[in-house]
Amino acid sequence: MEKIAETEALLLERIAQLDQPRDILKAVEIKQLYARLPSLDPSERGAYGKRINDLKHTLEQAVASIETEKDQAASVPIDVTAPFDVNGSLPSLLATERGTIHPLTREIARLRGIFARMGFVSEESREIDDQFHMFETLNFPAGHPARDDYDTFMTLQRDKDGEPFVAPAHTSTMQHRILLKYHANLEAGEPIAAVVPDRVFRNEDLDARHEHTFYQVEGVYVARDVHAGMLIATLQKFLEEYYGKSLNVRVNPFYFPFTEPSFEFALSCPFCEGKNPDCKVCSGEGWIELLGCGMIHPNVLRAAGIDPEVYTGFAFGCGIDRLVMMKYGIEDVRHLESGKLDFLRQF
Amino acid sequence: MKVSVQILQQFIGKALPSVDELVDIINRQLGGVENVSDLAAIYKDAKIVKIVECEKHPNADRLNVCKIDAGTGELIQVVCGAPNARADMWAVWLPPASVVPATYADAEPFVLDARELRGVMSHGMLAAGDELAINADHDGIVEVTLEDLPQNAELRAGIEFAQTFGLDDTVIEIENKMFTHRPDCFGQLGVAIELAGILGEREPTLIDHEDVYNHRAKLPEWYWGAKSFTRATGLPLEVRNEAGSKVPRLMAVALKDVTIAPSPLWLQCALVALGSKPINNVVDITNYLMLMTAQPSHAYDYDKLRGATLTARLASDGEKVELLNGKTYELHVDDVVMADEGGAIGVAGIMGGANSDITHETKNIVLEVATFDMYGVRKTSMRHGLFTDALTRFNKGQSPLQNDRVMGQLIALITQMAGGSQASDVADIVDPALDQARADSSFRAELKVEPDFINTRLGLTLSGAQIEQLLRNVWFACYAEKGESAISFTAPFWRTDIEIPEDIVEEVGRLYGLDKLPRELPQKSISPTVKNVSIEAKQHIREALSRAGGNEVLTYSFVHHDVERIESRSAVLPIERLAQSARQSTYEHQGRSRCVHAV
Repeated sequence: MEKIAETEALLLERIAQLDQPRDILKAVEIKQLYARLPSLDPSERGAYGKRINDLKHTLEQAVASIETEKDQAASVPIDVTAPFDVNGSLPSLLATERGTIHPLTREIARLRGIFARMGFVSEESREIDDQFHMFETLNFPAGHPARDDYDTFMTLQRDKDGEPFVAPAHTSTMQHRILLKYHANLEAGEPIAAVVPDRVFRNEDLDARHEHTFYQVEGVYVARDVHAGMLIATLQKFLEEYYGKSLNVRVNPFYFPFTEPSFEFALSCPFCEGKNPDCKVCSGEGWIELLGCGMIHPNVLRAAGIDPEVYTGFAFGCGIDRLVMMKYGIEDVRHLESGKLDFLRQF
Repeated sequence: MKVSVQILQQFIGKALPSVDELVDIINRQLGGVENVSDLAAIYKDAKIVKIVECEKHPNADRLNVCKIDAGTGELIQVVCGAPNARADMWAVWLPPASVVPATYADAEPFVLDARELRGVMSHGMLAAGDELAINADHDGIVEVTLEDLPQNAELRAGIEFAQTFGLDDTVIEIENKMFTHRPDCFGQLGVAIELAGILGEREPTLIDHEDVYNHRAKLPEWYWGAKSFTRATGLPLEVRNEAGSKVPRLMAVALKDVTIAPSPLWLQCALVALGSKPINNVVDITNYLMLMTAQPSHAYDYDKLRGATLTARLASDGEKVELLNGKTYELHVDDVVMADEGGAIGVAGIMGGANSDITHETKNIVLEVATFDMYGVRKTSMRHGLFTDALTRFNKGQSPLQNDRVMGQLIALITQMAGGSQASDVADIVDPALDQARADSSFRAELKVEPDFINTRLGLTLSGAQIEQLLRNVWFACYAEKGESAISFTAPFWRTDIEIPEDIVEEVGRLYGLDKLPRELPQKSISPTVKNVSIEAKQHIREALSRAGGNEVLTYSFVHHDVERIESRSAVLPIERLAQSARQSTYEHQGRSRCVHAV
């Protein structure tokens, strides 16, 4: 009997080490226990046999429990509260018909992908922000005429400074937070490199070219010895990667309060390459005015505790809706937020 | 901002590149060009002619038959209905097959021909001011007199109208947005100074030290030199500033015995070329100088000022003023007004009042050349929805150091063209905060910047001397102490935007040429870019749902409050409620709520 208890402990321990837990039921020790049966006193045989059967039953249960555990580990969890284990496989749901991803989010994923390969982290913006981030930290002092250029939506509620909250009119509203969040990069000898592709709002009357809700990608790069030529080169590289061909770019002087100097950035038309006077995308001009950019104003760096004597950087902001419209030949920006399935199913 | 190529040429003082090249240079180094209009094409056929004979039309009471000398050697017959047509008068003739300039941009331009008018042959037409699109006059044909001609022009039958009056010009329109921080570039002079510097850099390097100022625009003497004024009496005028620092500088003077009349044609044409409208000689001169220097000024009828005073003060609550646009505005206590003893006579820096305007009866005038706080005028203009050319300039922050120069030229031009004489001292009330700037003749203190600082930010390796030359070309004063590399820069008095060393970096980059900056990619270590978990998770959900047949929909983040009210009965709740100022018509028919993804 002691021998049986001893074997049970031994086998239960061994079970965990087996590739096939079920093999334990064929273990030689069990056969040895059975082999002892004929040598026992007949009055003891009944109890002894029952005890071996109990042992087998215990082992069966242990095997079943381990198998279930292993099965569960092997199957895909469908856990709606935590589906974002990036290393897990995707849940396989049954398709009823072909699904689509919105052309804007599809394009944003592409942009993020290219920038990620170039070493830029992605950040999200927000749908309501305060004027401290939207204007103040970006060197637009209160009353600055450039605040008018943005036609910003404001809330009736006011923040602790007594200012209305705003629906951000550019994703630059995240610039100050990014400079703070990645501040430590600079001390570690690494640049701050981030993009923010997200939703922005402007109080515009709607027409085929104007939406009050649209998407913009903001980019920030700060390190030692960053110069304006690097800004141009970085954007050129990005656009060449995006369009998959070599392109010409040019910058015009411009004015933004948060960059100094500031530029307007244009690229040679990737669709007609300047060869089609009837090109609908560039109106036959061969150039597409694409985005605003510049060297980050020292006041913006200073506001985030970065010494502008030591570090310099550039920032840019580019409309995403226009990229998508040019790419797919979408003639009316209002389609994008319209929720028309006929439109969306084309992508 | 419209700039005339002819005026640029005149200030720059040397041959300019072709218009296409000029536009390209402006685009690259100054600001985006919105439009280029070729005035020469509009006026290419118009000729100045002499009416030799003028007789009644045999078959029509109101028509005359004129024989004109168009310099062709023989007289040409034109039937004309203008009451002022007469023999020996100089007029503007539009020959057959030419287009009436006022209809040039129309879908179907009016093309003249030679045809019989009531049995008499008429070749083309003699033009009125409105037909030439130079003013609104249709009471008679344009008469050209010696006074109408620009300096050094002569009157001969058959000469080109456009060439004589500077309308053989090209006008380049540059986006205003480019100049948000460049108040000086809202004048022809400012753009000319900038362009001269840009063109100068493209020329071969200067060798002769004597020539270091050679590339600068040639500024008129009246603009460059500081001004002192003579004293005068005749009309008592008391000028006060009760608005403190909201009016950094207020200059005013009274002139007596002026004659209000239409401006000479050259001035009318100059205004038209730059997109302005001729009104009368005094108002036209104030507008002309604003277009040249970006400094607005205003003329009041002296005899309409109650109590012979001109005061800048804050409006009282609920105070009303009727402006030149014929509308009455109820003012706010933060609005700065110009006032006399009887009340407001204009909204400072934006528009004059209807109760003090210049009319054909005006004999005595008060001229005001002031500077107003840019934030203040901007708020006032937004509050009342008032936008004028003067405001566009004041809300960028005009330099208060140019007021005396403009005032001097204003007095000179008005007394020359409208007669009269100075009848009071020139009042000049200046914010003491500007004393230093006036003493230095520079709005900003000297900036000391290392060439290294500039080169690092542009990726260039310019020498100190090269940098100095670039800025000297746009009238900066530059010097470096012996043995020191740092350069001291002093901006000219019209530049209010040069505050920090980075502003010098911008100047150097732009004047040197942004297209010449070295395009190098930044270098970075190979440590992997950090993933953003939140974005990844959303992308995951998006992909999972679309694989299951879902169509991703993007909807608005907010709704109009009316929509919200209707929807509140349903289960859909808007997440953010924005101000009710959202325009009703725009949002009424729009989506319901923001949901990141809907299947």
